[in-house]
Amino acid sequence: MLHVVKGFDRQFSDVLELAFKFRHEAFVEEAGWENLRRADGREIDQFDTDDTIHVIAMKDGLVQAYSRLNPTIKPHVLSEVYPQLASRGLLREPGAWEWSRMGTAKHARNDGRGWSGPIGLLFRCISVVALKENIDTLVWQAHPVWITRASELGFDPEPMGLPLRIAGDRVVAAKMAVTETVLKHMDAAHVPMVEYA
Amino acid sequence: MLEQQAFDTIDKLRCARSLAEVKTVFGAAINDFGANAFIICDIPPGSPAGSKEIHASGWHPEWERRYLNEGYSADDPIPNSVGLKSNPYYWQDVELENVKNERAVKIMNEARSEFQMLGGYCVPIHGLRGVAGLVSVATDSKDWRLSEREDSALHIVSLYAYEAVRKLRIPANAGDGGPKLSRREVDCLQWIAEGKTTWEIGTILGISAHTVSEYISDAARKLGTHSRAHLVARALRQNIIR
Repeated sequence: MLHVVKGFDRQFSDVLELAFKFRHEAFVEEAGWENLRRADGREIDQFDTDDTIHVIAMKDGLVQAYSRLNPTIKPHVLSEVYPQLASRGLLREPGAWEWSRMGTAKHARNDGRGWSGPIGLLFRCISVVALKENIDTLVWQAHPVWITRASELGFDPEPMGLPLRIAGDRVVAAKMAVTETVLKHMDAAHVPMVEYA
Repeated sequence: MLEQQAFDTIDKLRCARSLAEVKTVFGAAINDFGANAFIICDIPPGSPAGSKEIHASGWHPEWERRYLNEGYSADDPIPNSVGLKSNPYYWQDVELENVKNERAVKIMNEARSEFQMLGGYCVPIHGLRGVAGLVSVATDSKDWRLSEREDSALHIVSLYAYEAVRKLRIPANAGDGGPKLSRREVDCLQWIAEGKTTWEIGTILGISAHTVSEYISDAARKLGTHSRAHLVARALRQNIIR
């Protein structure tokens, strides 16, 4: 079930709480991003604003996958924290949104040798939401393996700079257009569809 | 300027319209890094250790022939390390990790002493199914090591080279009602166009020569051709292989 929550919409505060706790588990506990640690166990930063779109895939009351979208015309992670990743220039356009905090639940992951189901789910969710919200371009920064993953699912990512080492591992910033074609590629790759809650 | 060259190469790879073009562009790009040969392979999911499908090769033909004939793939520590690494690795580092494996040592020594492959760098490709393939480049320079910046540039350029090959291997959709060849049939045709024999194609793709013959017969039947030359010509004309 796909939940899309905009800003701090009180109508969906319970789902949002689950999302912030999931983020803490995934990014602080698992990924070790200590700088994000908070005493209350909810991972929220200065880029969670009223303009943020939270994309939350739930199953049986648990978060399966989470993504965050922020407008590039406002301050976002790439522009404020890692501008060095965008040596070819930042993208700041109404149709371009930054995709960040991509996380999948540990219990939903396999050992990497079969279909990485949650990754496909992440891409499906973000694509469906982007198309619905008239977002035509996604900007993201992650390990270069995401270039391969995005390409496999029908995107054509373009790097915004060379990969750099951030907190020990390589990170590259890239942008990619979102079109209906991408959904067809996902269908062909048997990425399950999602239903809006 | 290294960065600009890397981006120019990536842009060319993203628009490449033939395997020949990919090979030319990537071959030229690796020269800028001091490398002089490369190979782009798939590692099919669930396949036995070491088996790979070669899709673009700039290896010395004699080395390629010996590598395939002797089944070096099974013991070559370079491709066998792909599953263990998420970032590119130097051949020398893997060699050190495999120093007790006699056959691995023999393979690396032969590459070095007979084919001047004094060093190399392998980029693992991990897709949605896990290990997907690799891009490996070789150098005839001694003590070859890239700076962090060069390494990161070659890393990303290699990812796009693999992607370019992958996209080009997807059979062109015969939307005009023409015959639709399977990916395997297209793979076989691609290698015939490069002058490989049925047996060689079988080894390159990790299937039996008999199976290769069947794919070729099926392709010939679908395209209505009666000789290999005619088959290749028709496939090229119809943009089935490029």
